[in-house]
Amino acid sequence: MDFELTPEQNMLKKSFQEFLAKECPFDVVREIRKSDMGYSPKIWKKMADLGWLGLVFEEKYGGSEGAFLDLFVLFEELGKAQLPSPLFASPVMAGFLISEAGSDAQKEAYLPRLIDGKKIFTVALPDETPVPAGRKTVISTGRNPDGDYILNGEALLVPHADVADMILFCAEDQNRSPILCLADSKSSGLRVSALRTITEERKFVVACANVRVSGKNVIAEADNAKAALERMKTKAMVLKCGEMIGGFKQVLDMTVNYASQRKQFGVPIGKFQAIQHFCAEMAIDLQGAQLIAYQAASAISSGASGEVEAAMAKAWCSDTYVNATRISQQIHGGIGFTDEFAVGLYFKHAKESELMFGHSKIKRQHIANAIGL
Amino acid sequence: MDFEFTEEQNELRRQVREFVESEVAAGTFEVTSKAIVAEVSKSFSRKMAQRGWIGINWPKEYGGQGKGQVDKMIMLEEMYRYQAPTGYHFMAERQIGPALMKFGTEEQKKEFLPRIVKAEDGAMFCLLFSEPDAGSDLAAVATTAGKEGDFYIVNGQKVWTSEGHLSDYGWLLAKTSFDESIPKHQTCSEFIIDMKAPGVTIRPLINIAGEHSFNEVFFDNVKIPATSLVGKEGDGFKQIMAQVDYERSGIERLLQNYPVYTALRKYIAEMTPEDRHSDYYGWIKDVMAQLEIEFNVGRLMCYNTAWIIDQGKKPTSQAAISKAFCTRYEQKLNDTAMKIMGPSSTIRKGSETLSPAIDVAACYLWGPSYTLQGGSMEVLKNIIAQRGLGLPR
Ligand SMILES: Cc1cc2nc3c(=O)[nH]c(=O)nc-3n(C[C@H](O)[C@H](O)[C@H](O)COP(=O)(O)OP(=O)(O)OC[C@H]3O[C@@H](n4cnc5c(N)ncnc54)[C@H](O)[C@@H]3O)c2cc1C
Repeated sequence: MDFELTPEQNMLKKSFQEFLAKECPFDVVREIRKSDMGYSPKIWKKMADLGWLGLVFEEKYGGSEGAFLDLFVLFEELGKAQLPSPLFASPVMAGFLISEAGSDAQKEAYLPRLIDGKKIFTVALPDETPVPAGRKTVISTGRNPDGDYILNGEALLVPHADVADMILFCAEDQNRSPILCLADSKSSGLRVSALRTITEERKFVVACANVRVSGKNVIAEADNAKAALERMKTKAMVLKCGEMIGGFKQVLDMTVNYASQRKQFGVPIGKFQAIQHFCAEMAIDLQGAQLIAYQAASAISSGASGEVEAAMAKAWCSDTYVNATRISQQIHGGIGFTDEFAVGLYFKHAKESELMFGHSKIKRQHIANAIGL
Repeated sequence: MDFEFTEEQNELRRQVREFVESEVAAGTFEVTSKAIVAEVSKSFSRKMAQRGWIGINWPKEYGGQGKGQVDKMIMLEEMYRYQAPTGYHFMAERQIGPALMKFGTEEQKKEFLPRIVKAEDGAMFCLLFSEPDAGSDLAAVATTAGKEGDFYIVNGQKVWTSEGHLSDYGWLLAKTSFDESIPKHQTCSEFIIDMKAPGVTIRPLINIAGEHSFNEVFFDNVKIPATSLVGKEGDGFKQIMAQVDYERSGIERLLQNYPVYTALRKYIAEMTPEDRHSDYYGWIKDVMAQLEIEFNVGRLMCYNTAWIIDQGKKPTSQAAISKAFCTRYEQKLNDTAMKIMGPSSTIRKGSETLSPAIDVAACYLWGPSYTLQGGSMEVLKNIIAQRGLGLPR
């Protein structure tokens, strides 16, 4: 057993921290969020030059073949910094799918550009929770004589779709069997429209009206697609947990800091036991969240599927992070409720993260099945 | 970062499991709940001693195996899945031995450490800390130990003394300084006291589970030799505080009710197929998965704290976090078990008919004590907030 990072990982972590502290303090983060692009191409390029986009990919495609844990540590830091960027959409979601399920030719064609950041990819995923019958999803309505797939329908909440070069669709055929395929974002019939969402990070509706996808851009179908999707989601979910524990730690630090400064009745409010116990609750939950998230990341890093660990981590991190951000709002009083003040960012991030890849109730169903109930 | 155990540790786990399972099969003890402290079996403790499992984490010079806290936790985890009766040596091994190694005289070490490690006669200890007016505020103890020549004379009263009626010795905190100008936490000292000494009276207290586990202990001019003092006069409170992390970090806080979990799983497994397709079963799956998650979190916290101890660091905040979390898990487990098992779970062991093998109701009744003893939930949160997070005192 060893509950510490290796010296190399600690160095890596420090370099992430230094970069993020220097490049994107909170006012820059806010600016980027409100910007038209929704990310900073300048910072994106620097991140790419530092090799952050290729941490876990094969060297032959420009990656550095690092451990999954290295990437996890990066996401922990990103969770603290709350820097919006296509890192999650492009190398993680799209990159993992392509490298898991793509053919050599497809990897050859896409991964180098994805890793050097010159091209941005995003992924259009179906919802985790049941949706009303009328809601459209992306389906393949058949193939034309050239063998092209024809996509119709719409995908919601696709990140960075406005700046993406390629969109990876998790579509379904008419028998609800999944198809993973890549479409050029400039394809005719493809329309991207912006959504306003809880985090103010812009996400998009991607609508397809007879969008043609050539057969050579189909990454995987049927069982292969399903399996690749599950593996990608497990890893992405654990990285989301990394983000969440990073955000959680930041929220606790900010809250303790505020409670030590803010005075009422002549004393710092952190002297009041009600406030201390709120903070202690957060510390207990955070400790658990860190341990369980690192457990999942370690499992994946060592080559295991880590499915159950990931589900447990996602359930616990979601519930406790959301709760902690609620408490942090209470302790900060009115100031925390202003857009000016950074703590609200985490309140939003927590809710959004909770719902991505399934909230705790959904994860608990997986766990219950896994333990034989 | 590595969540795996070493080969050697896996081997230890296997050996302990094999041993405990063979003892269960042989019927040496009954698998019940909360037996860790309450069930006292000298012969079982001796079997553990023969295998080197008492004092497994003690230095070799004191008869231990020189292994780590993580190793001890592995061993205990296997023991407590079946609630092995470790009451005879439990307190002595966890708290008295380590305190003696740190603060005791050579004579005290020689007298007690080998006895504890071998589970010989006269090795069972109880803790004489709490008093009617000194609970969370332990430094407020009023029991006095006045020095007279080569002796101390003890007068006063202790309360909530677990297993006091079965113990050979008591680990006593008493006031030795009566100077009003000295801060109260510098006025007490620690002693070893013979529970059979003249002037010691032990009266049973029956708890809400209807069981006799803790006691009141009265001291009426009890004369103890001056050599019974452990450490320095006036350092008693400080010495206790130096040891509480061990008291709080144990995996016993997570596993006292493990048989309830086992019984619950069995109960669910035996539900009818129709029941298993109901909405109600969906709820069962949900709460059981939550227990699974929390058990995993608690277990990681225990091992994390043990690992910190093995790194030679003081895990004050971690141990408090671990105890706060694990005790709440245990309360939740018992509560969940009663909900799932329904009204019949209120039937107690010893009932004329339908006496259950595992007394789930008793476990539920013991629940409130978990978040009181060894530092109440609120006191632990004070520690986490002030010492862990650095909030103002
Ligand atoms: C089953 C059991 C076994 C025990 N075994 C032993 C034993 O073997 N030896 C022994 O010496 N003692 C033993 N104890 C005693 C135990 O250590 C005390 O119960 C504990 O220290 C709390 O003290 P108290 O009961 O006097 O409660 P109090 O200290 O009076 O506490 C009552 C309530 O006030 C709260 N409170 C107190 N101080 C604060 C504060 N500063 N901030 C916020 N809230 C506070 C507490 O959290 C609690 O909710 C045992 C207790 C139990 C229940």
